[in-house]
Order: sequence, then structure tokens, then C-alpha cells
Amino acid sequence: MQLVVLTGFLGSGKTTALLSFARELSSTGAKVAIIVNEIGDVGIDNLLLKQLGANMWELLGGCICCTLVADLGTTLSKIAADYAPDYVFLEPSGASNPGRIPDALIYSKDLQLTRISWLAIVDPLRLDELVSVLEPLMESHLRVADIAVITKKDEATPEQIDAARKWIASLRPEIPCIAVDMKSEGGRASLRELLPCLN
Amino acid sequence: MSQLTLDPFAAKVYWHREGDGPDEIWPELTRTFIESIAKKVQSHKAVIGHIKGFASSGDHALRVNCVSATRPADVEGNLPPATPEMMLDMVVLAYGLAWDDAKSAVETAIEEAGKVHNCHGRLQASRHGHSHTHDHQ
Repeated sequence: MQLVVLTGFLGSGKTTALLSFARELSSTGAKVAIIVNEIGDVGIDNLLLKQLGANMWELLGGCICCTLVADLGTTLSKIAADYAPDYVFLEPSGASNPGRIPDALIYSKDLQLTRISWLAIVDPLRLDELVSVLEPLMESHLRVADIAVITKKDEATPEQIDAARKWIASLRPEIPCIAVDMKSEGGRASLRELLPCLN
Repeated sequence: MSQLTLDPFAAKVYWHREGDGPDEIWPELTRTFIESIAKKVQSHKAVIGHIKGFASSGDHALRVNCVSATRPADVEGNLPPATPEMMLDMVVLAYGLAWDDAKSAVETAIEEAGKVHNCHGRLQASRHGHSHTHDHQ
């Protein structure tokens, strides 16, 4: 069982990316489970995923980096035992500090993960504004990443995409970085090209 | 360095139509409503994280996302034509916005959007969320 963690600030496009990846992998016959964490006790993404019939588990009313850290561990164990998926996609709340997520795994009894992949989702439209007021949090999403995905390519200017690439490269020059419009077939094709990176 | 606190505001808004109007009223009402909230949040000098909502009826669903007061809200989907009521689950996630201020912004936005689209909205807010604090510059 592989764990794929999508990090990124609130509203950066994590759920849309997660859905694209999950659909692509499901179409190849892989069993995919999704864990959604929302900071409020009423979730929204979980309602969408339920509507779409996803195999989804919810962690609501806190962050998996702090108040729900034990719940994440036990949820992973339960998913492994009850569903035995090939992939578990985890979408932490956009307010989470992802660097603390590995601590949750100590609560997963006998969990055998073949790999943990980390994708950082970056919104180029608000990057300047958010880095100026929440720099430590914004950087924390990127510090753990294996791959950076710049979203909203259709809405951003070339300058905004370039600035996002430079910011990513300044912190993590060694990781691959792609810019996508996830609403277009071209963007979804770009995400498909990333799938081998998860294996 | 100081700190910014995120105090989630979650609610259900029960909308119903008052009188006649276009069949497909819900996406436009939702857009007006959420964009109005975003403007009010910005007026508090808060940092908008995500304002989002979801409503469904049978196989139909409507989803709204807003991350800025200066860009249009993204509304996808719709409810079945001529649906008389909509229950919208929503959250306002904004750094530096107190829960009471979020509630006030949503209440005012319900009134404003209701007037524009000839609808009535009733707010049912929930206050059991988890606040989160981050260092900022």
C-alpha cells in the first residue's frame, strides 16, 4: 500500500488534483482510498467525494498535524485492514503543517507502506500574498515534497507561473515541477505523466 | 514575528425561493452570496484561505470555491431545474477573522444575496471547529 500525500495551502487545488489522480489510477484497475482532513467540523470536500462515490474516509474538526494525529494513524490501519487499497491518497487540511504527518504513522499498528509520496500543490495566483504573511506555513508544504504541481495555469499569467517556479526552485531545486490547468484534458494528461513518479 | 489565527466558520444555509424566478437560480445566487462574503472578509483585513460550499439533490450537485475577494467565485454544477430549496453546506476559512465576524459577514451576505435573487436564507451555524495558529511576518 502506497501513501500519497497532497500538501498545499487552502484553496490551492488539492481536491481537484486528488480527484484527477484517483480517477486515473482507478481506471487502470488500482484500488484507491482517499482520506480527507478538514479543519472545520463540517466538511465540504468530503461531501463532494461522497457524491462522486469515492472510497473516502473523513477526519474532520481538526488538523492531522496536531489534534487528529492519532486518528490518522488508526484510520490508515483500518483502511489497510478493511479495504487493502493499492494507494491511499491523503489530503491534509490546508492549514496543516505536513512535516508532522509522519508522526501519525507510529499510531498505525503493523502498517506496511511500500512508499510515501509527497506532492506540493502551489497556487501561483496568490503566492506573493500568502508568502508575505504565512511564509513558514507555505514553505512547510514544499519542504516535504517529492514533486511540485503549480495549478491554475489557465488563470495565471506567464509571470505568475515563472515566479512560482522560481520560488519552488529557491527552496527545493532538486524536485520536478510542472504547471497544469487541471480542468483541461491537457492538464490531466500532464498529471498522468506524473503517475510513474508515484511508483 | 506575530501570529495569525484561523478560526473556521462552518454553517448550513437553507435557501428557498420566494415567488417566480429563473429555473436555474442556484448557481447565480450561490456566486452572489459567496462573493459577498469574500468582500466582507477582506474588509476585516483578514487573509482569505478558502470559502467553499456544496449542495446536492439526488444525482445533482453544486460546488462553489472562492479564494479571493478580487476574483470571481468558481461555481460548478447545478441542482435540478425548478428546485424550490437548496441546503448549502459551507465553510469560511480566513486567517485573522474572528468567528463572530465571520458569522456577521455571512448573515449580511444572506440578506444581500436574497434580495438580489428573490430568495430567503436561514443560517444554522456550528461552533465546534478547531482553531489553528501560525507564525507570520
